[in-house]
Amino acid sequence: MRRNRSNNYSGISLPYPILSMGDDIIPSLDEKCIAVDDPVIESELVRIGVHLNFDNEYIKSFIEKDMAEYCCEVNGSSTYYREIFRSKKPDFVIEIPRSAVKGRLVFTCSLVVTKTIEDYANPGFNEDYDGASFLLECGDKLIDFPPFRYNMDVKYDKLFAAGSIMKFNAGTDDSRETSFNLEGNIIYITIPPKMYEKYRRHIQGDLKLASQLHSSVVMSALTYALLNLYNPQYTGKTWADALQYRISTEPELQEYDLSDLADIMKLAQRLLGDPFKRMFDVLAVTEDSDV
Amino acid sequence: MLQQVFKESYTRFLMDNANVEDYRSDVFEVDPKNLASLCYMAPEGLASKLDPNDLLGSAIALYEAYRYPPVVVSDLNLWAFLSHVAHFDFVKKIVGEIPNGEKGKDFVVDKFVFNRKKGFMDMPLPNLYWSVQLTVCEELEDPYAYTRLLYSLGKARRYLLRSTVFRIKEAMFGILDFVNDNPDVFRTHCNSRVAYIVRILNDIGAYKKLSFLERDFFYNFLESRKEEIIAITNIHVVNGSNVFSSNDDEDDDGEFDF
Repeated sequence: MRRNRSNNYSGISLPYPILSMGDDIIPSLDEKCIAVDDPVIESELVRIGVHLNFDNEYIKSFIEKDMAEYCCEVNGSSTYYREIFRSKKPDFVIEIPRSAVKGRLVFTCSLVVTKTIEDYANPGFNEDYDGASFLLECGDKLIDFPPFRYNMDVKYDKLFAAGSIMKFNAGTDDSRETSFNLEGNIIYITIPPKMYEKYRRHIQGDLKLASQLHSSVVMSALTYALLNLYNPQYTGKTWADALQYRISTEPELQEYDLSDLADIMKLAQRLLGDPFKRMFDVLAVTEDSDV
Repeated sequence: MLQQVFKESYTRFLMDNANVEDYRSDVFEVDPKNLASLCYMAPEGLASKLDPNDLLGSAIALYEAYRYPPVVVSDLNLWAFLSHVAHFDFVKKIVGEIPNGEKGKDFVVDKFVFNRKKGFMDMPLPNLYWSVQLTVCEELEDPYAYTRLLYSLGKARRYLLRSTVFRIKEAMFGILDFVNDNPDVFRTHCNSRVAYIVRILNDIGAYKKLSFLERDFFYNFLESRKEEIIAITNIHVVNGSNVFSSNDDEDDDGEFDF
């Protein structure tokens, strides 16, 4: 799961303080305020376990008085899906119909008022709110947990295969260069038609040639993608989510700085499983290669 | 016959290489090698139910014909096929004259293929389909009662269909119940008033969990702000670039301009 690290309320003035990762209420939520189990994908359902926690006894008292409830809203814009799941407990399981969603899903959890609170005056209010109290009504948020997301189209168990996020396709008859297209959910390596025909007939699926493909045109495509990984234009694309997931979950990939081109080249090699070494191993005359 | 769709590679090809002249023909020619099949049956006799002069009836007919799961009806390759092959004539009549030059190319991609930035709501067929999908209520004697209310707003329905708040079922009921009980409010300046409703609901969404609330909340909220809504007579007063585009003319309360 990918989690945003802060709640962004830029440009918006809220009518009262909400406990979040900001400082309207102190102490604010910490990094461990939300934990999510790996989704279980069955034929009919997607099950996701969510675990919320926070440290604010004043707010907890409203839960105990049955005046507040946890909820998680799931947004799947690809299918216009928007549903809310409610729970009186901080640990709950969300079940989503498998046929209702695809692509990126965004989950936003909150603690919400269910019965009117006449004088909400949290002792943790930032000093800017000193002495203030607020009337809160049903639906008002007490806590905004940082959102997390999951991409239904990412083959998380096959992320090590370049083919899971890239494909070759043929360009038009008058195309001369190879181009890389990031607009779709898959990175398309578009090659001139005659080259594509050679690829399809003689190269595709040949494992002996994979290292040469990976260390050449695939490496170029992946480098281009990494350069654009956080470009807002590609937010939510399956290839971007897949790469971000790998980088955020594999410790050895987190040492690279994506603002440094030299690091991007190294990261691309790690993501492709050292393609240059594999290519030299294949090309070498001797069986033993100790690079 | 199984429902056909464009292969993804062909849809992508059209996104970048659509030829405007192909769209001026009576029939859009497609090589069968660019087609794939779904594991669902294609509807029969739908073409006769699609009337460009009856968008509400056409929308309902589309919805009833394509009762596929959401993951299927959100497939852009399906709508690209339907717009180019199955219902090409209908879409052409709705969109009207196709501009020349580069504008024409952008136009045909927006209306027939798929514009990644604008999405489905700019394409006539999925727009009509989803307008029903988002408002149908099977429990009612007339499951399309809310769809009819939506279409009573004419062109202004675009603001609701493009808003995320309208995807909340209870919000949809509350908003359209308010429309039903206050027809005079929307007899004039409909565009700007509906856009304003979307805006003020988005505003409170910053601190209220809108999806947590029931339809009465949305109805009562709009009732409490009715005088303020009636005071809106100019769409440029409605701030927020996500609500309206600079091309909107609040005096043009006519039919949906695709």
